[in-house]
Amino acid sequence: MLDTIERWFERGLRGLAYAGGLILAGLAALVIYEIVMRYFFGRPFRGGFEITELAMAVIVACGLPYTAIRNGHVSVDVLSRWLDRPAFRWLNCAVHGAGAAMLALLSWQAFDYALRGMGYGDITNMMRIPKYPFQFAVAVSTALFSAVLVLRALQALQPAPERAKSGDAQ
Amino acid sequence: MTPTLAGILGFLALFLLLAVRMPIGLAMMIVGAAGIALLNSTTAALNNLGSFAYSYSAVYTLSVIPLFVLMGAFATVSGMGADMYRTAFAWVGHRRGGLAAATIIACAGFAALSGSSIASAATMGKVSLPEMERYRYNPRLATGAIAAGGTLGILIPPSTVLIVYALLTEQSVGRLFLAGVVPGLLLTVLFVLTVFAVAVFNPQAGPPGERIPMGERFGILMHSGALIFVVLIVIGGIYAGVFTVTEAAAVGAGLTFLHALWTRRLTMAKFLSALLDTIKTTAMVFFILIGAHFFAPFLALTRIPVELADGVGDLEIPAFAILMVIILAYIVLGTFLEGFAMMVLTVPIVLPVITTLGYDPIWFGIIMVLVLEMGLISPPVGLNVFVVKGVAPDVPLGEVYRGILPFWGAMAVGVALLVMFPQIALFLPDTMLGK
Repeated sequence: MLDTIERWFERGLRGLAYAGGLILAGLAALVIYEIVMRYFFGRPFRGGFEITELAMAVIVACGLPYTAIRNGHVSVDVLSRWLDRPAFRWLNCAVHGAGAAMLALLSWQAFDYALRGMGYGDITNMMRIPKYPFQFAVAVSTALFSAVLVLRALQALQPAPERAKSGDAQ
Repeated sequence: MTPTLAGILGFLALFLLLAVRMPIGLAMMIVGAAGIALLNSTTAALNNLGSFAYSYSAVYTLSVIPLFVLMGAFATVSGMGADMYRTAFAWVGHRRGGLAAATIIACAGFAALSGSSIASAATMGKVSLPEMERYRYNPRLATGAIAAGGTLGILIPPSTVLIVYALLTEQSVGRLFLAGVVPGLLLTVLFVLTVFAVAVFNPQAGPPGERIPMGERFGILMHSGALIFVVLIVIGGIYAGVFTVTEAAAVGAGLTFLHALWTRRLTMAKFLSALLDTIKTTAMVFFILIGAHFFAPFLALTRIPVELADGVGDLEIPAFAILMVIILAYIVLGTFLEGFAMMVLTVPIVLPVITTLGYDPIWFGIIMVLVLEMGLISPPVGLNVFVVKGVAPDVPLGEVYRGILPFWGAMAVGVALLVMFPQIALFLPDTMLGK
């Protein structure tokens, strides 16, 4: 049951990560376009800086929950031999649960921050793009990250001892 | 509660959370936010929670991270690593241990496109290991060379580790990249010498490959033309001031993408998987950075870094001895802590001490990367070793570690040389960018 949920959840988050990847590819193209305009046409494109900043927020937001469900966030693995024993499943559940609670709090505050920004019209300096949609993206992303950890907390309680964990880093 | 006590408790809590496998970014976030709530105010902590995840992702200078990772991902797909290996093989393959030396040289070349040790070891491992098996290389030498060579990825620019160090210490990325060039080449030479030394002591370890006539060697060199061209444009462009580091990264990603298209190695599936890998690495690095931005202000509130630096400054111990203790502590920490994690955890505390002692932060960054590299290939959690094990599943882990030992020694020599002659790192940035 939980594994089915994880499979579908992972598929959805992967779609989000692809979207982030395409935005990154677009960002690379934009930066190259800027260089070409500056050197060959003598017309610097002035919005690039701000677009890059906003794109970065979206790229990170798209990647955080996918990386979480792929166990890609770095953790210290020294005690795994002990912690994977069934006796520690409550501890593992609590660790994931605490992480989920922290991220839920962060997400809530980030929603609040975005709402306030929307309220007083927080915009970028040059192109006057409102920042709140990008702040909402971060809030949604951390909410999804929190959901991944809730799933992990429930999975930790399952008796199934051998769960494939792929940790990739750097 | 006094700030110092809160700081000590904070560190204890952090290590406890890390020990039970909480992701490092999350652990720093929890301890940092709790500490800020305690020492400053709950309102401040909640405000930070609301804004930091956005405001520390939406940063222009940080865009170099995903762009360089993307460049490395496309370079992996485009087969530039394999081309580089063929070139290195043509020039040194006929010597004893030549294939292992070629692996090191190819790793160094690939490192100039990739900022990740894991990617370098994985890419070159897939290319060079079958060759070394074909020539009946001792598996120790073969796997050791790949694991060690891969670590060059984070020393030779571009390097994700150096970018993160630059952000944490407010140093210039370009200056750090320049500082990494000569030590990177030095380490490459030390590794190659190590290979030849192993081959001299144990002639069976690395039988010579076939000799390729001089004329053909230059022809094969042209195969690596694309790699050399991209490196010259990207790194040369930064040094010549033609573009910013961000622009260089975007141009590099564009060029490696075009090369992958040109060589017809880029399928839709590979394109998407390159994007996915890039996003995953990016999110991993940014989550640590966001967590570090919670932990750093908490540490500043505890005043521990300042007081520690003052205390160390007043000590009657020579600066050199303290430096040695710090380096040794890093080598020990590096054996079980992941590189990024170790850096974000320790830099806010160690850097003030280092600067108080009168050492250069750029130079120390290079030392730190070298020490991180040693951690990448030492037991019990050498990430590169696991990567190599993935490519060579038949070689027992113990054999890999034994094969790595001589290279680990070469790295220690590298650190010693850098400590004795800081100019190895500082010469290039000081002459090209001024002091």
